[in-house]
Amino acid sequence: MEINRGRPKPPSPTIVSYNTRGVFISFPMSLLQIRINGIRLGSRLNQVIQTSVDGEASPLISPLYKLLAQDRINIVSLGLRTDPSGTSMFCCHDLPSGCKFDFKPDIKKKVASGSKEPQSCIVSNVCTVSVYPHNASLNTLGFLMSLFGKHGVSFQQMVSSHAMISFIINRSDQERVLAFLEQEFDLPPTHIPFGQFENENAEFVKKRYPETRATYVEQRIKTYGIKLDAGLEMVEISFNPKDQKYLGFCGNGLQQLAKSGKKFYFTASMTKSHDMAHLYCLTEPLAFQEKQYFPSRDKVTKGLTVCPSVSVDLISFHGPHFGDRFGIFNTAMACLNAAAIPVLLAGCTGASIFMALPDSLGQKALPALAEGFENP
Amino acid sequence: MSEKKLILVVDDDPDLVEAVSMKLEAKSYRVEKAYDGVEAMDKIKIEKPAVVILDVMMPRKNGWEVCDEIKNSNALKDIAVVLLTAVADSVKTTSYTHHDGKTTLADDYVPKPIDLDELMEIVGDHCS
Repeated sequence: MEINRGRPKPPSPTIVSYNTRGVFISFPMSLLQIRINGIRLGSRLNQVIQTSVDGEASPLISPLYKLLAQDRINIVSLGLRTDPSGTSMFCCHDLPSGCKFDFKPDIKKKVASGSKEPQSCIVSNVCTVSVYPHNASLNTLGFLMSLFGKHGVSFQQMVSSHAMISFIINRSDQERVLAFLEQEFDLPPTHIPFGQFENENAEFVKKRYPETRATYVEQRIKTYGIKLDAGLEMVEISFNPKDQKYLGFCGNGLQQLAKSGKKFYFTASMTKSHDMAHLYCLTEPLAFQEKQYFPSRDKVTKGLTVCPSVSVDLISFHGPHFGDRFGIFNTAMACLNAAAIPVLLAGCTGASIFMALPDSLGQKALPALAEGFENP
Repeated sequence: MSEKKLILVVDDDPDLVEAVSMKLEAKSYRVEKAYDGVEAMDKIKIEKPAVVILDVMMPRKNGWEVCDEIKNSNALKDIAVVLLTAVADSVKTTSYTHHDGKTTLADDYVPKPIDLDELMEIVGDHCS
């Protein structure tokens, strides 16, 4: 559904500067703005967070993605992180018209019982805002982080796909976020934010988008190809999401890295508790000097920690209608679990799945995934 | 060496646009991207592509409308249009007849979910 906002784009701000002879010059901000092609809005999402899940190791424990697959609930967006303290994940799923912003009570109970910690199941009323294409640019990613900091808006989660960076935010913040993205990015003149349907019943959706409502029954799930990027570096920055200056700090560091020609392969941010968020960014291996863009490594400094980076292999794949189908991430996890391959970080948005594995396990993961997926 | 052919990829799924573009670039084509019908027409007017790979179900202006606009323009009608469609049974009856009896103004179509290798072959045929 197009959202006709009926709001003209504000005139481009002007930057004032002086040349070397002190002569006043001005030029439109659009010359400095980052060009993107579009903004996509998703609404009416339930977000569920589950912490300290042991995955397949214990039969008593039920990972959230598995519960959603069993109930044939499609995951719109997902983030998963496993570290020595356990596994945390968030899943967002959309709601049919008329549904309350809540999780089904029986699943909620199972999610909570699958976690080691009490109060681990958090359900909230969120929406997504995505920008595309990111072109793997750390400058774009850093700019986005800085924008959230500058405008004093927190995002709850973030995850990238091959083309998009999606932010999961409180629904009440959507208008504000959209406004500053439209103002600060260079968008095509005819651009209108594309919104997912709301208040449409299933019949209407089926009629309007017949191609996206098909459910395929396949022996192995089709993909457009499974890609392996080996020997990447995963940078992790932990910060207090309530303090906006840290978003600016992260953004600035990423933009510095961009200047040295580095690109990102995958990025995600997860808020695990009210006062701790974690940003993950996978890049090519960084030189010592580049690592200094995030100062105070290995130190906790006033609410911000830059963790020692680790070497990972990244598996990514994308398939027809992945964004509209349930159980795909569950199949991927089952394939890797069967081959005893741990997943350090994973994320899904749009029609893509990204999985960061311990260094050197990428090659082993390809045949393991072939059990459940076609790799043309 | 011959000049690289320009291919315009149009789909409202940014990830699909990216996947198709990567495959085309690996085959040494130049690629432009658009995410709806209006933007596609804007790009076509800036630089005429050799082939447009065009999704059908898109916001603002759908693939049928874009295809009609291209094929009804004397200046643009020699652009090869390849439709990506999951609604193959409702392909419009016009001038071109496909091998399985479906007809469309477009030069070819690939049913969704698309086979990228098949799509590359079709693009190659239209560029040769």
